[in-house]
Amino acid sequence: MERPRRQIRAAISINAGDKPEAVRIISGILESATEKINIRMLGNLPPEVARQRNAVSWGVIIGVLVLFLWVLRIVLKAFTPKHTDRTLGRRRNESWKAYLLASPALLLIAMWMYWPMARGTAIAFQDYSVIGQSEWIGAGNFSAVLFSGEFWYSVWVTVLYALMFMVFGFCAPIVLAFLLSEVPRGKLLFRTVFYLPAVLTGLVVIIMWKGFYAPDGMINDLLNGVVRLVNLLPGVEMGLFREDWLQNPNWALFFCLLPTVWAGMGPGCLIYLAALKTIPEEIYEAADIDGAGIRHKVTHVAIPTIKVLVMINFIGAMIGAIRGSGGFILAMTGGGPYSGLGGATEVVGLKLFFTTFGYLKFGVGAAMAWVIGAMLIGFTVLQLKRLSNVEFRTAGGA
Amino acid sequence: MPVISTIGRRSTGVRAVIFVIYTLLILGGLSMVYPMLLMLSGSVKSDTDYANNNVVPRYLYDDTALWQKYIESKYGTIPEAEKALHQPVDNWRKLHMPEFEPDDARRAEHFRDYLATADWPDHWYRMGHMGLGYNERDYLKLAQRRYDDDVTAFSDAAGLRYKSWSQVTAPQTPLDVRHYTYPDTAGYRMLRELKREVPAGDRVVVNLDGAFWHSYLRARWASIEAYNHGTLAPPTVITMKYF
Repeated sequence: MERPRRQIRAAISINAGDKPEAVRIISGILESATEKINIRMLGNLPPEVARQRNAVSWGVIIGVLVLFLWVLRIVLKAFTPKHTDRTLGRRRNESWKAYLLASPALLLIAMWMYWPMARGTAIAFQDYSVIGQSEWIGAGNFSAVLFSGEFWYSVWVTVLYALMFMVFGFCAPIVLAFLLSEVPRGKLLFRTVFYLPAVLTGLVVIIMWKGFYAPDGMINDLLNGVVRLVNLLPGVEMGLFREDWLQNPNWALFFCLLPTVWAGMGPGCLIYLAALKTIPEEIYEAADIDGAGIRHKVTHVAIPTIKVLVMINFIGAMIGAIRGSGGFILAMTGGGPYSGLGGATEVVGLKLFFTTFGYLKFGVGAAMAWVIGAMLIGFTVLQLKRLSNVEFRTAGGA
Repeated sequence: MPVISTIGRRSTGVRAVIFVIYTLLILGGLSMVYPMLLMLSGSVKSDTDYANNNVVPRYLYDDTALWQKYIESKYGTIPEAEKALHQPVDNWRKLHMPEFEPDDARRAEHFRDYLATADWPDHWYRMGHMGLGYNERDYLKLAQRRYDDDVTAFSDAAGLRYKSWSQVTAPQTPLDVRHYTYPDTAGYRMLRELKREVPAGDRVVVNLDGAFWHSYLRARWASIEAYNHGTLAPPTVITMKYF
């Protein structure tokens, strides 16, 4: 409602004298606004557009289905042993014992994972209401997701978030592990210190960091300290910072990420530290004798050793960054600051939560979950393939 | 320290690397320890100073901060402080400590003498340092002592249903509200009893002018300009002739 009014005000100020012209412009603006509201808020589409969107949605649904089936095949293939023991075939009549032993786990997984998933899938095709009969509406929910600009904006925000997480959040523990394993003195002290945030409750961390980001918070204090130093130089006069960082659309996402990196760094580096410890001293000695410097030893000895670990963690971290960031950001900014495009920190997980439990559009939420799932499944396949290839050996191989 | 070999440690390059490692780790370590210490000191901070980012609470070395904290503790909430002090407070941190005047010591002496002799009626003052303050805790202790730690007995006497002592708070006594009378229950009786015993400095005098200003005048007219404009007749009517 605000936008047409602003448009009208702007238009009138231009054509103040010409009344019929002004009326024509105003009605034009109002009509386009009505159309927009009909489409975006009420979902009343012109029939041909609706038909077209429906067709696209069905296409996407079939695509998702094919994708999932294909993934299922890949997973089955990846985990089937390459050389099956012939003798097993002869004893096939005894395999029911194995199934019997596995059945409690299988049943539980089916009950708690696959049954809800099946129910959720059904909801994705319904105009779901908590009480009473839900109506089947075909691909309506999917087209509501696929043709929503805000959804794609939140996907874009998520991609940005995930990229930033990979640059900072994923690399930080690896770098830290190297630093901690190389520092000559005070190893134990530094390790303890860096592990400290892990003992804090997540919400406490968030509230604390929100305080840091406030206009009179620590971040501004730090920056102002630098500004004051710079101002000591003759002829330099810089203004002090009084920024509310979480309300800054350009920085909010990064500052949402920072506490995650900060808190996850210490615990995350433990596994790399352990891996670095398994590298036998002789290899380094041999490298020394061959004249390798620090850089060569890192790139040719240490990194190849922890590479498998890095790869497994990489995929997990990617999926985690896309899926699991919602709760943190909900407490941090609640998705804001909002602009015409959408929330600057509203990642897909949060959007999903708001749609489902905020606006109570369960059907749209379920459809959204499937679309997100289809986007992520590539990573899952990669991860599973890696995992099926990894052999776990005792440390050091010695 | 496998990557940096033990041989050749003294060379400048290796030393520089080790220096960088230490710098990074110490900076990172500070960023980990500082929030911890901040939370530790946060546990002794209150509304006045929770937003300060210093690890050592300011009131330990700054008298203004200590005085602001005292005002907060004594009056409890900003509206109560505004009523009692008859001045806008808005934020504890914005309170200025009054300047000492040469006569103050003598006046304080006189006031103490007066307090020692005068017997204030109950409705002249309420008890300060309630809420999170120490008088609230004293109230709770008194209740527990009197009812032998039996919360049910106290609930019966107070006419309220408490499930545990942690729910028990001292009753509010808005003495500046028209037609206010104490309910005659155990809680109120105990409060009055305790009130007579607290030191004179803990008394919050019921300031009717302040209450009128806070709850009526300021609620109706946002500023003194608005008040002047609203109560006086328009300037065109007021002429010198009529004054």
